[in-house]
Amino acid sequence: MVEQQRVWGMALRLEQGRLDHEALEGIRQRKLMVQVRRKLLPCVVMVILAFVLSAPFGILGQTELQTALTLGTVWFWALYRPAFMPLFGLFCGGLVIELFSANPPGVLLFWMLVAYGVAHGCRAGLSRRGFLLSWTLYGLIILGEALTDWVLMVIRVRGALSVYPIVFQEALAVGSYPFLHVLYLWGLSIMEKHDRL
Amino acid sequence: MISIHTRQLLAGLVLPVMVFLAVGVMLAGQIWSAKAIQLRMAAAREMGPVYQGLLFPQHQFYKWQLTLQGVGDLLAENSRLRKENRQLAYWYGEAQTLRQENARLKAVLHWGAEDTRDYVSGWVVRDESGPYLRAVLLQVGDHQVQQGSLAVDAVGLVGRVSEVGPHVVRVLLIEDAASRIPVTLQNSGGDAMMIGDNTPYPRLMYYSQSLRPEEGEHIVTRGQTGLTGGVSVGHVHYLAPGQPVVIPDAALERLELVRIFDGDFMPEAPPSAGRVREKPPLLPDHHDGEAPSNWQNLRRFLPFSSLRNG
Repeated sequence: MVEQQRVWGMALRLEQGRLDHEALEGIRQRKLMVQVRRKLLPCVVMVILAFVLSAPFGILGQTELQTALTLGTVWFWALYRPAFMPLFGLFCGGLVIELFSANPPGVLLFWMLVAYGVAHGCRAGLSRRGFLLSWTLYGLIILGEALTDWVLMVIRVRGALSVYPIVFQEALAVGSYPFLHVLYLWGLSIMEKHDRL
Repeated sequence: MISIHTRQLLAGLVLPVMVFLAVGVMLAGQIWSAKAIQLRMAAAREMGPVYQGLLFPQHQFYKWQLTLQGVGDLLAENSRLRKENRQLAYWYGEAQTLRQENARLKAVLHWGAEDTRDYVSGWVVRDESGPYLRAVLLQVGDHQVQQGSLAVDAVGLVGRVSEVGPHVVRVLLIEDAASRIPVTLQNSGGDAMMIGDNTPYPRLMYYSQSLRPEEGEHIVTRGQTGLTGGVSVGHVHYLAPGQPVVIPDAALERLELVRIFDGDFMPEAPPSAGRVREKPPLLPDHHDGEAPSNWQNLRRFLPFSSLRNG
């Protein structure tokens, strides 16, 4: 409330042409902060989620959930607010996540970039056709990631492995995405409200 | 000054370049997998205290849960403990008798000095178990742990050390598809190979057809060069006829504190001086570290009777 009054007062002084240097500096700093938050927050949240899920909690499907949340974060922000997920931040975040991932090196990073590319490329079409199609495409990306993991592990072990982990990862990721979507929409609305203020 | 057209062109190239880099990371990870593992281990080592902090609420919760459960059935627990205590007192007496008898028999046999085994205990700082991998990272401090050493929890075998870092070691669990551990069946004394397959129950293979594993039979590690024998592993169970698996004694699904035997390597037999070898050595033995002369190299071509070991 106090913050709102301060901003209104600043706007009033701006209209009256009495804006002093201090107020101008405040506006500039605030604008910079909003920009930095917009550019960094989704990437930072993604890295923190991946890091927390790499701790040995002993939760069933923890590794699969780590992959699902990482790719889900990239998919949501690249699809709905690509400006909030800069490509450079995504790449750096992906490299950091690779350090805390149990998947074969590089696979998650590769599929993060693929998810970004697909979401960015089909953004206009997907926004017209609704949530179901974007959910299906996300499921296909998860399937691609799980299959790549499986193939690389088969090469490493030099023997056939069960396909059950692929099904499990796919089910977990596809099942958890609507919750992630709702959570990020809520976060996005709060962020935009705050920025408008 | 870059034109708008050039800038757009460059912006369009960023994603393909990054995808190309990611493929490079993937290939590098496959080619130099050991380096990638070392890098991840170093990251886990640095983040060890943070992981401990993250796990603190969970540990506290389990402690409270155990305390509450304990308070809940205190009377029943008390009577059970009294019974167990009586049994333990009985087994303690038995163990003392056996110990004395063992010492007496060893004295009769002029038994040599027994090898003392060092061990180091460490907290699990990261669970690397995933769909295709079963491994944990342990923080062992400044102790020098050898690759291949056995890791046990409070009850039984957990796995073997597969990678050694400066402060963190990686233990490949017995469930992992790459795990192969020679074991001995305790009832029959037969040997077998315990092979992980990424399920909670490793398979038993390569056992003698005359000494088949029995249902419920206890299994220990086989004593051989590079492996400590007699470490409790688990019990045999048949999932289907002809498919024996091992139900591990160790609580692999929830590992916290793991102990690693530091000296897993049994001493090699000493050179038997004075005995005649059946075949000449392919390479000459040099125990004194001196380079062999050409005359000594010629010894391998001499008749057997003139060959001496060492």
